[in-house]
Amino acid sequence: MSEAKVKQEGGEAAEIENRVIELCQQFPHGITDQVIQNEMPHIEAKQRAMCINRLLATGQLDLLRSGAGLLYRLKDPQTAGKMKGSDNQEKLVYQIIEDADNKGIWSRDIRYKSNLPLTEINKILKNLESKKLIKAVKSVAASKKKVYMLYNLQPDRSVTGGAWYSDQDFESEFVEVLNQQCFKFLQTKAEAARDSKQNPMIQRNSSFASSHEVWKYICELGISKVELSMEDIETILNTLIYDGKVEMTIIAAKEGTVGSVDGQMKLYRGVNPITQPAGLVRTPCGLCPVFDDCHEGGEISPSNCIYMTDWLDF
Amino acid sequence: MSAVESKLCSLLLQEHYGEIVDRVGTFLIRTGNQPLRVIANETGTSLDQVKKALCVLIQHNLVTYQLNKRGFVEYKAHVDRFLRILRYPRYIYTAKTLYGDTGELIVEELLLNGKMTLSAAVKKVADRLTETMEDSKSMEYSEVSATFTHLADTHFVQRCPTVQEKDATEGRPPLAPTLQMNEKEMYIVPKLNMTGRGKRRRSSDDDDGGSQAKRPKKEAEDSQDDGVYWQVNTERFHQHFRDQAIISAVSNKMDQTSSEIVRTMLRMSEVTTSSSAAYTQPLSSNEIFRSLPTGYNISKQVLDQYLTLLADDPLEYVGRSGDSGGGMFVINLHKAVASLATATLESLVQERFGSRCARIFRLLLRKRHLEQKQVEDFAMVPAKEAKEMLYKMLSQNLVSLQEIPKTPDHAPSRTFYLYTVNTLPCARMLLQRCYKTVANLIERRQYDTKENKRLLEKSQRIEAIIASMQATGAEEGQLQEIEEMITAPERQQLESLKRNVNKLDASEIQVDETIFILESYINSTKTKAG
Amino acid sequence: MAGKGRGSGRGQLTFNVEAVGITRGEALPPPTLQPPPLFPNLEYKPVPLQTGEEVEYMLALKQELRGAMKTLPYFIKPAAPKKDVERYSDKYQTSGPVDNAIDWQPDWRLLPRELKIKVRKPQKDKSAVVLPKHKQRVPLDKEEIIKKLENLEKKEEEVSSEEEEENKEEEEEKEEGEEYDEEEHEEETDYIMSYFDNGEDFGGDSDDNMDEATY
Repeated sequence: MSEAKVKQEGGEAAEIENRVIELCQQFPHGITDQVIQNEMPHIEAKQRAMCINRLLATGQLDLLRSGAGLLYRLKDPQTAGKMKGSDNQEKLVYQIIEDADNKGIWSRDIRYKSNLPLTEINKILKNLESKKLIKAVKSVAASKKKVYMLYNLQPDRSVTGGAWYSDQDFESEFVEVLNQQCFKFLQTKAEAARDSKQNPMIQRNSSFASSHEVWKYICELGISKVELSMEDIETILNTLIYDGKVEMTIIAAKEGTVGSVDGQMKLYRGVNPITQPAGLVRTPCGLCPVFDDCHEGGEISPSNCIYMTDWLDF
Repeated sequence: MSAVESKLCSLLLQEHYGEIVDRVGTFLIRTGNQPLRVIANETGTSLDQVKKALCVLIQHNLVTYQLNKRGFVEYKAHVDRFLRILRYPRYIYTAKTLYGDTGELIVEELLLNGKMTLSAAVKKVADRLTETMEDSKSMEYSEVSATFTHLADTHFVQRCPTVQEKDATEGRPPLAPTLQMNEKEMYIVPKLNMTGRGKRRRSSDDDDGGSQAKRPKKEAEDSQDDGVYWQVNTERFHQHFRDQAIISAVSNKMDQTSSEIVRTMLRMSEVTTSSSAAYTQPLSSNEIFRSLPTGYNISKQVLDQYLTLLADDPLEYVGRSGDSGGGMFVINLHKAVASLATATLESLVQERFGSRCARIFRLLLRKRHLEQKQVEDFAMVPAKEAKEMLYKMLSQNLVSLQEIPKTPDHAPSRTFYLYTVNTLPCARMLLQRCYKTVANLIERRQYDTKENKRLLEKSQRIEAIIASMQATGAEEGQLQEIEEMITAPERQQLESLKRNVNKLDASEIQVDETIFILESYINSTKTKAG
Repeated sequence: MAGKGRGSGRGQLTFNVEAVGITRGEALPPPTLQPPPLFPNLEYKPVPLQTGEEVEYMLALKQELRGAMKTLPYFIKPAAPKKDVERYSDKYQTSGPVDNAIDWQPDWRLLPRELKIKVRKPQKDKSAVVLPKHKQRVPLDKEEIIKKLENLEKKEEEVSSEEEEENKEEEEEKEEGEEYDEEEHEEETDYIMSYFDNGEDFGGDSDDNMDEATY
């Protein structure tokens, strides 16, 4: 009884597989399991899954993850060609790496996903690397770890350190320039609001700029070689808050408002310091590095203090 | 009472009351309550001198006394009052801004003499003002008296504690009179019939007018308010300084109008809010509107907008406390004082270690606890720099490190190391630094002056000679000859010395401003907690 | 896959020695052995002092106050230093108040009784200024003292100090008719002198016996 079924299934399986491939050709962006189900409603889920797995294992289909769920896509014949000669395990590992897109994946996670022993994985990775199918990229998050991704992909910024890193070097100057530019923008806006002499409410509201506004201004300035996101600009704006030059407020915004995220918008404006520098820092003692060693009669004392002398002579 | 504070007190006493008073005062500061003979013995000062010194110290409200359990009189030094000597110029100047020259001189005389009766003060001030007036004019006592009353009404001067009647036993004065002051009478000015005007000094009198004490005879009018003494109420001045600082902050951050509104609110709260309160009594927007200065022309609507903006501002100096009367508002005094102190701490880090460090400092203030990596990320500084800055601040106790173990074995690799800023200890430390700084400035000034003592004396002698020659009508040529006795390089040296002394003096005053802010914050926090 | 490192060997120098200008055999400059400087260079200079009318006025006030207070009677100057040879003119020179009296009038009602100093006019046979100077304290008989007191009480002005406090613990002190005990004493400059001279606390002498007069 089971034999017959298997034969039947086998024939059916091939047909299912072909149908799936046809569907994939029809929908090059990929199809979900649901689509296959709709197309062939009489097939049991178990059967469907088996066919799909076979197609995946033989390298005819790609597995992708999307917002809608799992997607099956026809594999690119080029890469499919390259895969010729690799065994299934390699294909599996390759697929896993491909799924990780440009964010890459640690070897440990590859092991977890593929259930293959580590030694096997390492062999495969070496192999794939030599075939120039994949590459290893150092992650800025943990300098000793590497992530693997497809050879021709541009690594995502979270791997390389984002806009602020260039070859693992933190771009202090660049950050500084952005910091200054953002501040200038906000300062100008605040001044304009003050000079407008409108009623206080309007003045205050017009002194604010959303992070989106600032982001747009910076992009238009064209000073960045890298593409900056609004979030990137927000991290810069935050440093201005810690510089005591800018303050932020969050307002509710309707979904879909330009620059809003999750129903909120961040607004920033330039502010003045509330006090002048303290009296203490107007004296050499306030800044003195040897203050604790200073006492009358000692090697370092008020009467022989060089800092005082310089300060008095100035 | 730290060594640093005691050193500063000693210098202040020395400069203003002489070495004997310094010795006695400093001894009391360092050792606490002491009876007369212990002071004499331990300081190696004669009993007479100690008595004189104590009289001076008590007269100037720096030391008080009480009978101890065994029947001895013990003397107690009030450290904070000693340190106030540094602030005398600020009290006098403030009185000037509020009550003109008359107010200025009243406060000055009270500070110079410690305590005075109304009648004595009025006469002295009238005389001094008369000196500055045109030849035929003089100052009316009643005018001075009126200003004095204003000062009392607004609590800038107050009654000194007086002797209680019951102390006088058998006609003999008590060992140690008990002095008390009834709160209700603290600011009541006795109704004196003071008619008269200020008198000029006779030109032949060399007396600089400062020592009124050499007059042994008492005038009839003194008996009117005999025994009723007044002193400067420094707490009230401090309240004024605090208010000024708050108004100034609002003006800097926001605008003139906002600061005027805050000034009005503070003025309305002056006598209804105790000096240690965390916030003022609630004021309604209607009341505030009515109390705005007469020149101020903003509509009620606009006022309400300003009040809303003040209440919503991240500064949080103004808070909402209800909806009646058009909206009720308070000033968050403790919050304001704390924010001023924090700004002072930030200022120190900024000027001493630079803006990157200041950024990290402010970051820690906001986020409270951060690991080093988080500091790097938020402040956007490279790891090496972050480490350096944190270490610098750590070694100066501006920042501290907290260990939070993740696992029970406290293994370092599984422990959170969190950086944090504790504002109160930080402020305390900075305050000590301020005290020592002022002491340093004084010592340097004294040293520079001493180094040039001979030259200074020479210059003074020459000036005296020239003055007397001018008085006897000497010729220009003769005067010039004398003047030339000071050579050009000597003149330059003198000018340089004067410039330096001025700079050192001016910086003492400015450091005292920082002292004030930090002390206010520390005291405000103490009362809040206690 | 990562490219070959650019000269990452540790064992060798990573630059061409000759290119830097060091020829073979030449020693590198010796490490600095000096101690760190006493006053290291300041990275940042103090912020300039505030200026303006208010600042100027307060500065003037401060300096005037300091000057004025030195002339007030509250400023107690230490007595004049002892001269090796006593000059006749010393009698007529004063560097401070001649007498030990306080030269301003506190309101004694506000002060403890013990602080009052009675002032006595110098008697004809001795002057307050030139008194025999003893280093040691001279123990005086109490009764002698009391007799002298009664005599002196009759004088108008007085110049002397009393040493009441030593006897505080004894009841008799409080029961005496006189308010103040007065004893002969030396010019107190001795006391101060020693203190100033050797810079040490003079307390040594006075600790011994509280019952006796101090000078």
